[in-house]
Amino acid sequence: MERRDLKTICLINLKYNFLPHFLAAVLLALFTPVLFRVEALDGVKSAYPLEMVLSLVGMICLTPVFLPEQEEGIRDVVRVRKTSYLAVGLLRLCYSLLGVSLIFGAFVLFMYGRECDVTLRHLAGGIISAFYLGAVGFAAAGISRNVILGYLVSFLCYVSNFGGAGKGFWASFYLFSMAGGSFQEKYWLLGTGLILVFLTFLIKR
Amino acid sequence: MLFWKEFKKTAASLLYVVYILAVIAAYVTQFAPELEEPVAKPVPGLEDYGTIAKEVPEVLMKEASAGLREEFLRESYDAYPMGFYREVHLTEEKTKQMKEVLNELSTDPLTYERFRELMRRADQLIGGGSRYCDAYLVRYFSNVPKTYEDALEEYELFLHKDKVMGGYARLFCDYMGVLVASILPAFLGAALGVKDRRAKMEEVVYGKAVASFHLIFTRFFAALAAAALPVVLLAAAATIQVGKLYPDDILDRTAFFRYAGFWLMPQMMVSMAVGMLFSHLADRPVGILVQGIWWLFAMCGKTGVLTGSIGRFDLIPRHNSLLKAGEFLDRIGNLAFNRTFYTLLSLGLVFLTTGIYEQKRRGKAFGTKRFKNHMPHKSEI
Repeated sequence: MERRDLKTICLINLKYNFLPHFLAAVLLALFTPVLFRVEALDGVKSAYPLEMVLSLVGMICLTPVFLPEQEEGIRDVVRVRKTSYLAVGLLRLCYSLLGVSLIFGAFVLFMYGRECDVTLRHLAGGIISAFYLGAVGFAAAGISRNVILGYLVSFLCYVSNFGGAGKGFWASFYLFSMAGGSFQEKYWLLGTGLILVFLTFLIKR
Repeated sequence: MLFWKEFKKTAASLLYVVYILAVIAAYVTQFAPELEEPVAKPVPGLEDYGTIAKEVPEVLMKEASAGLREEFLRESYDAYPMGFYREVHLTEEKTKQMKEVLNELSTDPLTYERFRELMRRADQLIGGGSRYCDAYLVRYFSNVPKTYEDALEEYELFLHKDKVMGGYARLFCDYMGVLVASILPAFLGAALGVKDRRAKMEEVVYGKAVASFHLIFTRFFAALAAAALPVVLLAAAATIQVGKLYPDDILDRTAFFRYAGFWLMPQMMVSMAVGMLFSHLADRPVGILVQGIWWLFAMCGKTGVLTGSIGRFDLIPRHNSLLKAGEFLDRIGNLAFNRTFYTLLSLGLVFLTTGIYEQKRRGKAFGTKRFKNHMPHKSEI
């Protein structure tokens, strides 16, 4: 991939494929302080808005990475291009992740400004939960070639956490662990998210 | 027939399979555990029968005054105007007036009538829908221990008025309303918006002579029928299961279907309509996000009181109990208003969708402009 190509691919994708979803994610972030009172929260309570609401931005941004190629016509066209469409997908995934991180960074700063006891650990933990939800949606949408299905699977994964941590093996995948004072689960979520992304690329190859 | 064609389009998708699995999972994990044993008849002489919201002036006056004082010191008041949660901060002028209310509350002697007036005044200052309004006051501040007679009366209502099934049907609707009826249909609705494009149907459908109105409404009701199907089947399963649990009692065997139709259907309609409308508007599954945000608000807006929590505009009414039929019946008017409102709203949204669809057919684009270039006008075909 030449540098000029890369720049064009980046710009076009950012504008048409990323911006609408990023704006939707920003909208959700703007609603978060309305849903959760974000003011002078202690270390544990600070995790609530980050894990329980803001983590959904991962689902919003990462699920539609392969949305443009969902239409067969477009898929056929891009497959014959010299730049592999999987490489373009990877590129989209990377900047989507960057977008998610930016939203989290801004929100954590906002919380800090409102005297919440937030640390880099909160930032990392929140991003990992978002990445995991996003990776589930990314995999489901990518493999089924149906982005709505991706959203549904990711959303179901999210709501299944509301009854509290699952038992045994499933407890390791608890999305809201920081709100319960534990960070251990985040390693599992990160690892599983990475495996899902890798598998999706492998299957779509 | 168009209806069946559209029905099959939803029902034959992988999305629908996942939807059905989610509906079944909600039933099995939430409602089914309630079917393990029948409700026991209360026996006299127990120490604890739980609590009941009952207007007891001494308790109410003490607790409500304390509640108001606490919110005053916090400088923030919880309120649910229109059924949505709001945190209210008062202006200086109103804070002064609230202080006067509090001062009068601590005077001695204070009559009960004057106390109720002061509560209304406080509610007015907050802007309505606060914990001190007539509708919420007793529920929040006068929870007293149930007596044996109270418990027995509640049980009799469950047995004879609800004929057992009514209580279970409400609980079924309560659990299914939280997730299944309030957000999942939005996914199916959103799929309707983008399906034509995926199946390359646009060119075919847009050119056909079927009126947009007929097509969109048929499509909506066909998808709604598909969404409702697993819920109806589970209602039938629940009727059988409850019947086995109470073999000797007189049972109201249509209760599950009546409640599901009256309570869950309008919720499914509005959720699906939002999913469909916004996805037609933006050509992307945005409807899911819109309904998702609404759902989050509806969920976070609940106060922790999960019985008789039925506001006029609540997307998700709650009554998480097999008993407390009285509390529910007190608010049946609210529920009737609420469900009528959402039914009409959803039909309005579907109607709007037909407008958007018609505009697209005519080549005037919403969302993306792609049709403008290559879609011939109807008259050209």
